[in-house]
Amino acid sequence: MIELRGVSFGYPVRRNDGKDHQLVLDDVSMRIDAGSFVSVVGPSGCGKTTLLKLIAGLLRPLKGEIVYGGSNGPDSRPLIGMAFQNAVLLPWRTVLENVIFPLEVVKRWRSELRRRRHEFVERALALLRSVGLEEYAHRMPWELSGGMQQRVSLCRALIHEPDVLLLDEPFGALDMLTREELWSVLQDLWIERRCTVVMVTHDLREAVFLSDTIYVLGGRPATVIGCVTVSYPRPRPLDVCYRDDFVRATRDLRDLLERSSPKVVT
Amino acid sequence: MKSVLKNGSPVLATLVLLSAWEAAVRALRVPEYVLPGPSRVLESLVVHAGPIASHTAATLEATMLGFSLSVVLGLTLGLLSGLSESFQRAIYPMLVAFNTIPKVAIVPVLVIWFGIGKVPAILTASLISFFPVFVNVSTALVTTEPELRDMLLSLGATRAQILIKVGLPRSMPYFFGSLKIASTLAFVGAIISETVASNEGVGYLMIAASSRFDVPLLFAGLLVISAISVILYAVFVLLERRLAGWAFRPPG
Repeated sequence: MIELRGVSFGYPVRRNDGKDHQLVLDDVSMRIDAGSFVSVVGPSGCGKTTLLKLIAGLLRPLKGEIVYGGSNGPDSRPLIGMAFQNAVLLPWRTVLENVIFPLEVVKRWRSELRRRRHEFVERALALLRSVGLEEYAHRMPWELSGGMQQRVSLCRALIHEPDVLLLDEPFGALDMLTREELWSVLQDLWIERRCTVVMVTHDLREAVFLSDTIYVLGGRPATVIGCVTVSYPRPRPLDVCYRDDFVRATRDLRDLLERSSPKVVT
Repeated sequence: MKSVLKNGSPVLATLVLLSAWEAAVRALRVPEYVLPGPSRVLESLVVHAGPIASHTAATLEATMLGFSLSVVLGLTLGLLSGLSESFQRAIYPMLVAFNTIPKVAIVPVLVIWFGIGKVPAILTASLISFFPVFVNVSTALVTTEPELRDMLLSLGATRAQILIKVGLPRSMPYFFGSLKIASTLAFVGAIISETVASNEGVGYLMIAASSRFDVPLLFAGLLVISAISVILYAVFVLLERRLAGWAFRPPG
């Protein structure tokens, strides 16, 4: 479990009266149960990515604390996997080498890399197989389409068996059909592993389709303005998106977001 | 036919230029001490082959030593400034200022310190050519995608690991690009120094030839220099394809 208790964060800015912080997140509290799929939605630029970086431990909160697994302290930080809107694969490595990459870095695996290389390659191939890309294992990243690269990026985020998977608008750059296809791919991967997922997105349908819990961020600086639980049984078929209650849930989220952010005249 | 044209076009263009040159010199009866024709230059090249070869070897030695120094210097400074923003901020203005100094103005200083001969040539070659290496390597490191850095940090990577796993491989195309520039610059540096303060090297040979109004020999020197720069350039293109081939995608 990950718990955010009154977390505030701001980036340093230089003001006339000396150094200060421009608050981005203000008093954010969240409870992310182990093994659950949590989404964070909110208008763009509201600090969703910052929130992920805080959870990843890349940034320290100005106020409040983030507690991992009930205990506190730097040692208790869970193993993290990340995927972003851009796949950011390493262009000098093949697809397979890209997927294995985290195993060369994470301490737990690095020391065993030489001895268990064969096993790791098998593991990476199995992951690629589960996203339908096994035959592309020895291709270079630029030979793959955007959707395929994003699948590879997901495999890379999972290969080291992270406790927490952090996704920053992972399908934001894809066309709608590819995006919906990858929702199912991601759901399958998650059902198989049951790691904790925190996904930031501005696609409300995506959030409702994939999540157990959705936190809505709003305001400036952003804070939690709503929390929605989705309890469709898993695995959810794509048809679920067309059910009345699904549409209603999406619209409720939309209303919530619209109320919280002042109208911008365009 | 098309591929012959495509592959042979550099040779063809060179031949056309040389023929036009030869024809113009003959038709206009340009005196040899003003502009010798290519045939005359070639003749001089053959006649003086021995001295030209030994002087070329001296220049090549100074160039390669200076170039190696510049790669070490440029790579070190580039890596440091790619790793530390404050280091980069501190040294960049200084390096830019230094780079704008005409290197011929530095040779006399080097001569006072090290005497006439090989050392000033080596140092001038390295001083003139380290800057592109430095700029390219530091740029490559600074422009590493922030997402990649975040991912690596979240995996518990150290700065050194980020540098080795991502920074260095990513900067290879930039590095080899800079080597192509730096290698020819190093040549220029060595020859500048030789023309001012040396008793060997192609630069010295050309100054000596010019003082004797041996213009064909002067041009023979130029020809040798150009030929070697082209060869050096080709060597680095080859190395680049070998070591950073991933950056070049087949068209289409």
